[in-house]
Order: sequence, then C-alpha cells, then structure tokens
Amino acid sequence: MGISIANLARHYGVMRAIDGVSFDIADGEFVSLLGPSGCGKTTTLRCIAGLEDPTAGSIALDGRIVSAPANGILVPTHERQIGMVFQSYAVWPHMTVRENVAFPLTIRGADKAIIEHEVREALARVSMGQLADRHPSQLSGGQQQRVALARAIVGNPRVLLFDEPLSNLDAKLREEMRGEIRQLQRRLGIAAVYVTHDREEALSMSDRVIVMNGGKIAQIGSPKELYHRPINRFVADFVGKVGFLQLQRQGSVWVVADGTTILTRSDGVHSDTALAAIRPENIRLSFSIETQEGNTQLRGCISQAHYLGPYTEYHLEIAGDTLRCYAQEDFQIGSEVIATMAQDNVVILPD
Amino acid sequence: MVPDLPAQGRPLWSSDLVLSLLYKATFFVVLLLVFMPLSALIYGSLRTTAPGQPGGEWTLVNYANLASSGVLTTIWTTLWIGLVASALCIIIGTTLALIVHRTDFRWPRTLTVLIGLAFYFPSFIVAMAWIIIGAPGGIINAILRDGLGLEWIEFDIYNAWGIIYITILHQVPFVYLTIRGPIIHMDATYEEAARTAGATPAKVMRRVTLPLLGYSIASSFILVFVLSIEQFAVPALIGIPGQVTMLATQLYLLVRFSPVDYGLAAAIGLALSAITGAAIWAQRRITQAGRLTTVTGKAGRVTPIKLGKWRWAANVFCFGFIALALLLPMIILLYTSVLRWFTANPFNGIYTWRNYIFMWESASTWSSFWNTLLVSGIGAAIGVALGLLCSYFTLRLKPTGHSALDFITVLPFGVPGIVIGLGLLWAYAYLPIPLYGTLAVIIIAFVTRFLPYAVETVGGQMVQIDRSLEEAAWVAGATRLSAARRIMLPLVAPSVQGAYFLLFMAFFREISAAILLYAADTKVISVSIWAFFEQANWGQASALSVAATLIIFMSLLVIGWLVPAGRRF
Repeated sequence: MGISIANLARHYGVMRAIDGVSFDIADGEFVSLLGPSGCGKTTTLRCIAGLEDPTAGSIALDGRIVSAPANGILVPTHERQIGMVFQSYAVWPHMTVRENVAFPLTIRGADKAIIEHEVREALARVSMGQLADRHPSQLSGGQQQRVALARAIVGNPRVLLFDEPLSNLDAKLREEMRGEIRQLQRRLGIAAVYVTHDREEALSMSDRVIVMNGGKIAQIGSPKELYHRPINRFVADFVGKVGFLQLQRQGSVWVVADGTTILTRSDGVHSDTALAAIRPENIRLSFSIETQEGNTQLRGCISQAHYLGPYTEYHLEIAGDTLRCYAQEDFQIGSEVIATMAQDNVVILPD
Repeated sequence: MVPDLPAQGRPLWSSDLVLSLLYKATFFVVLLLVFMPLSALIYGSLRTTAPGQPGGEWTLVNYANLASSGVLTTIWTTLWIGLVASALCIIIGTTLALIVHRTDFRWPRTLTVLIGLAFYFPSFIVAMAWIIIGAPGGIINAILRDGLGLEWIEFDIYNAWGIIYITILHQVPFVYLTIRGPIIHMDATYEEAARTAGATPAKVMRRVTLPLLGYSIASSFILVFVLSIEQFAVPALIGIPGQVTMLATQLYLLVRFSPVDYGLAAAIGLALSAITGAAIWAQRRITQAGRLTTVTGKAGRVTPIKLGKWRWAANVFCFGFIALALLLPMIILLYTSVLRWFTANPFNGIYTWRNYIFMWESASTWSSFWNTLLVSGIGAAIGVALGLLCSYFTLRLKPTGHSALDFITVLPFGVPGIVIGLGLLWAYAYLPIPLYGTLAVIIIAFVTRFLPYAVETVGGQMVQIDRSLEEAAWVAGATRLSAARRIMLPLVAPSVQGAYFLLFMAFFREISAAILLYAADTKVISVSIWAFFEQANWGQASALSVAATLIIFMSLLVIGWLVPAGRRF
C-alpha cells in the first residue's frame, strides 16, 4: 500500500512550510522530493516520520492512518515502524556498529538469536560485516552512512525515508552510494521517499520525482518527463540547465523578438506571450544556414565560453535573451553564429 | 522473523506520562529553591521584626535606611573595591594568558596546571595565609622590626587594598581560564592577515588580537566584578578587623552581631542582588552580541611571538604570580601548622605536631569533615541531576513553560551566596518542617547557588549533540524516555561528570552561603577553619587548611585520572 498523503499542510504561525501537498507512493516505488532549500521537502519527510506534526491533511503508511490532525490521530514516531537515514548519519557515537544496527531490534525486545542473525544480514547487505565491532569515530563518512543504512533496514520497516543522505559525502562516493541505495530498496520492495536538492541524484535514482517549490508541488513525473516536458519555468530550470526565449503569439505561430518563427510541437499555452525552453545539448551551433524540415534557426552572438572538458558551454545572445549550448567545436567570443534546434526539443511554457 | 512493533496498546506508565511528571517535579523543585529565599527576603525587608518573632508590622523603613550615610558608604566601598580589583584582575589575567598562548614561553603546560590549582585554592585560605604574613603582628612586620630594625614602618594588610590584593590573587586564575579559551580558539587567519599586511607582532597584538578579544574580556570583567562584590570570606577576614565594610560583610554583621537588624540586612541583600543581577544581565547581553565574532571553530596556531630579551620578565611575572597566590600561602600554612606558638623567625620556633594530633583526635573536626563530604557528595549529585533535567527540558523537549524554567534556573547567578543564606534563614523560620540547623538546609543553599553552573555545564554540551541522534532512536522504535536514557544520557555523560566535579569542588570550598546557616553540629570544614581563625587559633586553622587543601588537590588528581580528557568520542 505504500504511502498515501492527502492535503498535507504544516504552518508555523503565518509561515506555510507545506501548503496542501498530496501524493501516493506504491510499494517498491522510489520517489524523490526535489527542490531548493525551504521548499518544504524536508518538512514533508519529517511529517511522514512523525518528527513533525502536520497542521492539516492526512498521512497513511501501509494503509494505516498515522497522522490526521482533524481526527486527532497522531501516531508517535516510535510506533510507525519506519526506517530513516539522516543527513548527518546520526550514528550513535557511544555504540559500536553492531550495537547501532541492533538498536531497532533490542528496543522492541527481539530474541538474541534473531537480533544476531538480522544484524549480520543487514551489515552484509551494506558490506560492513567485517567492521561490526568498530566505533563510529573509527569509520569514514561513507562507512558511517552504510551503518545508518543498515540500521534503517534492519527493523523490517514499512517505508524507507532518506533526508539528503549523501550530501556530506564526496562526489565519487556519492555516485557509488546512489546505486547501492537503489539496489537495496528494490530488494526490500517497500516504498521509499528520498529528499534531495541535487537534481542529478533525483533523476538518476528515482522512479518518480516530485518537484516542490514554496511549500507546494510544482510537478510530479518520471525523471524523463520532468526533464523533457516540464510544465513551468521553475521545473525546467530546476531539473537541468536550460535557456529561455521570450515569445510573442503571431497568428497561429510563436515568434522571437527578432521576428523569427519558432517551430514546436503542439502546446497548451493560450496567452499572447510565452517562453521557449531549450536544453543546451539540443542546440547545434554553426556558421552557415542549413535549412531542414522541422528545425528552427536563430542568429546569435557568442558572449561567453566555458571550456568543460568533453565540450564547451557557450552563452548565446539572441534577441535580448541568453541561450546556453554545448559544442565541441571552437567559437570565438563575439562571433556571429547560427543556432539550430529541432521542433521536438522546444518546450513552450507559460510566461 | 523480526517482530513488528507492538500496536497501540499503551502501558500504564507510558514514556510521555513519566516525562511530564518529571517535568512538573523539576519545575516545582526549581521554583521552590529559587523563589523561597528570594520571596522570604522580600518579605523580611518589609517587616520590622526578626524572622520567626511574633508581632511586627509592615514597613518601608529598611529601604529608607539603605540611604543612610553608613550604608551609602558601604555601597561606595563595595563598588570601588570591586571595580579596581576586577580591572587589575583582567590586566594580569589577560597578560598571563597572552604570554602563555601567544609567545614562545617555555612552560605553558606547567603554568596552566599551577593556575588551575590556584583556581581551586579556597580564597579564605589564601586570605588567612596573607594575614599571617601581613598583619601588624605578622611576618613582614617581624622582619622589618627584628630583622632590619626599621621600627618606624608598620605594614598592615587590614585595609581596602588588602582586600583588593587577596581578591586579585584569588580571581586572576578565573580570568586566565575564561580568556584562555577564546585565545586558543581564535581564528589564526585574523592575526596572519595582519602580519602579511606588515604589522609587527606587537602591533598585531594591540590592533588585532586584543580588540578581537574585546567581548570575552568585557564579559570576564563583569563576572570578576560580580565575584568580587559578592564574596564574603576575604572582606570578612581582612575588612572587619580593618573596619572596611562591604555589602556582604555588613549583611553578616547585621545578622550576627548587635545591634541586630534582620530587616535592614534583607534590604541590603536585595540591593546587592540588584547590583549583581544587573551586572549578570549585562554580561549575558555582551556574550550574546559577541558570539558572532572571532571564534570560527577552526583553531590554528599562529607563529608565537619571540620573547627574546624579555624572557626573564615574562618568567618572573608568571611564576611570581604563582608564588604569591599558591606557593607562599601553602608554605606559610605548613609552617604555621607545625608551630607551638607563632613566631616569624623559623629558628626561634618550637615545632610540634599537636595541631594535627588535636585535629585527628577532635570529634568536632571529624564531624565537620564528614559533614563536608556529605554536603559536597550528595549536594553535588542533587545539583547535577537537577541541572541535567533542566537542560533536557529547556533544550530538547521544550514543553509549555520551558522558557520560564530556563529563566528561573539562571536567576541564582545574580544572587550572592550570603544573600541566599539570609533568604533561607528567613524562609525556614516560617516553614512547618524543622529544617533550620540541619545539613539539608546547607545542601539546599549550595544547590540553589550553584544550579546555574550545573545547567550551563550540562546544557553547553547538550546543545552540541545533534538532534537527529535522538530522532534516529525514535525512528528505530524508542520512546522519548528510552531515547533520553539510551542515547542522550551516555552522550552528555562527560559533561555530567564535569558538572559533578565542579559542584563538588565549589561546595567543598563554599563559605558565604553556609556562614549564616550552620549550627554547632552542622559545621562544614570551611566554617570550622573560619571559626578557629576567628579565635586567633592560627595553628589549628592552618592545620585544617592544609588538610582541606590536600583533599582538594587529591580529588583533582583522582578525578583527572578517572575522567580522561581524551574520550573515545
């Protein structure tokens, strides 16, 4: 049954940390909450864990209502049977690795034999079996995070919650851990909520991503939907690099400020002005015009160039707007170029 | 198979119920501890009779008497002695700290340990030793008269400067220990930036280091000022014979000697508390304002300033202070304790163990040792337990009214020990329980007085413990109570031990809160030493002081050995 959240709200006085959030997560599904700091993603997660009390709405875990302030239901955290991994790891420094992982079982009075077996299994799953008798101060950050992970899965949790668990690790380790977390969750087959502000993390790990902004959901969708078909400027900007062009409606088509028509697939915007969002990898730069069916070509001037290794990122001034595009060829700053983009890759968004 | 968490069925004694009962009990006890003496004092200051006496009526005459010339002179004396003493303490203490931590001084560790010992050396013992040295019948005058034949010079420690001198010897270690932290933790790059900008080491010190320490120095100054004007032992031992009266001693004289005036004493106690309370309030504002500056957490070691040809001066200054504050008093006490009759010339002395033998054989001395151990051991445990509960409630659980609790626990910071003693004297005269003259009342006085220290010590560590450590336990299925017990308690254990040690030591030395409350069979060591000295029995007083000092230094050793600084986490 996973997680079911309806009209969740959390107000601090007049400040609305979460303001009417609803979504469902199926068993086995991995969903990320993505957004800038202060968007309400962490508050939402903490409400699911019961570490914060929602002001309104309801939360159900595995079909059982755990938070519903209107009905006076508020199951305390320790009765929710969840697994959670914290940003700071929160591995208890006064216990060994083994004691840390055993805690969820000892606290509910499980048999010694069961505890020993489960702890061994959980530690093996995160490949920490040989370090079971160490103290956390003798472990690296990555190892501590593995201990936290083992502790989160050991108690047969109904759901797994992650609060930016990788943000304190270095880049290489982070990529490695992404894969491991995802594998572990798949094997357990339970719902997982993963809070992050890192779009790469959200896109690479999730079945679905919920982009939040200002306490509300901006868009829910698969990583590909969010990347290729964002429904507003905020989402387009937040899930990846993008450039925007101001558009005017002229008859049945959209034109840029210099009068060039932009070719797109059908769109749902009915106002007189709109934005075209184009990802940098979907723009091709050249010196000459080469018309092709379904392509738009715009004349622009290169204002900045940042060499990044595999390619160079150019900033292209077009009729008062700036597009970013990647190219492996060299262009001089100040040179006039032609930008070519296919109509499939131009997304029209409300202004 | 892993068992699921038990569903909703709640035990009779659920975690929340226990915690809420504990909270109410803590709140009640703290409220009682702090407000009973204070409200009794206010009541007393508005009455015409002594506590417990029948009759009497409401009056404002005690407050009117505050404006009498005698009391005004006392207030003035208290303030100027406090200001001069604390200014000198700051100068000497900061200089010591800068020499130790910013120059290539050779014995930084030794000096820090010695200053630590001086910090724990009770002020009344230092004062006694220096009275033996500097009184009209003391060692200096004997040397001047008999040794050098200078009969026209008479040295006399019994005056305001004597009080200031002893206060400095006693409080400089406090300044050193409070300034030392900010100096060590100051971000080294500030000073390095000044050096790369072309400033000489001396200029860096004057233009960068000292200004950056400004807040810490100001805060330390106010605290020393408060300690100087609220202290009782030094102005009593030196000021009373010299007829220099400070507020704390005037209060004592009004209660213990005729003409007795409990009402005026209460009013003076409140006036003194008003001054110290205002100072503490200012100090808190300053530390809050200063918290944002200087200390960044990444401590570094700046290149030390070379002392060069000034090395001898620095050595004389540092070890000279230790000699005056620690070594000389100890030697004098040892010397006096083995003399049959006091003489300044060691070659004329008749040496004897009788002071120690008398001490060993005296039942009343044993009972005062025993009382002190009881008061310190049990009292410190109660104080730390209360401090731990207060910190947990005000910092973590934050139930309704927690900010009021927070406020009440810091109040005793601003109330001098002797004023708490007087307040309890008033309060227990009206209580149905016969507490007066018991050890319990002394424990209550000490716990009240030092509760803020326990709360600060434990709370200081508790705020540094990441909240998610407890949250992780809740997520794992632990109730609030068992998370507090299994996660929070072990993690704050070092600070609990530290607070216990601090309170034990403070209780062991405390005299001002006990001096008005003790009865013949509830004497503590500090009071016994005091009594012997008052009877001019220097030998007995010295022997007892030597024993007390030994116990203090031994406890320091034992605790330093039991609680190693480098724990595994």
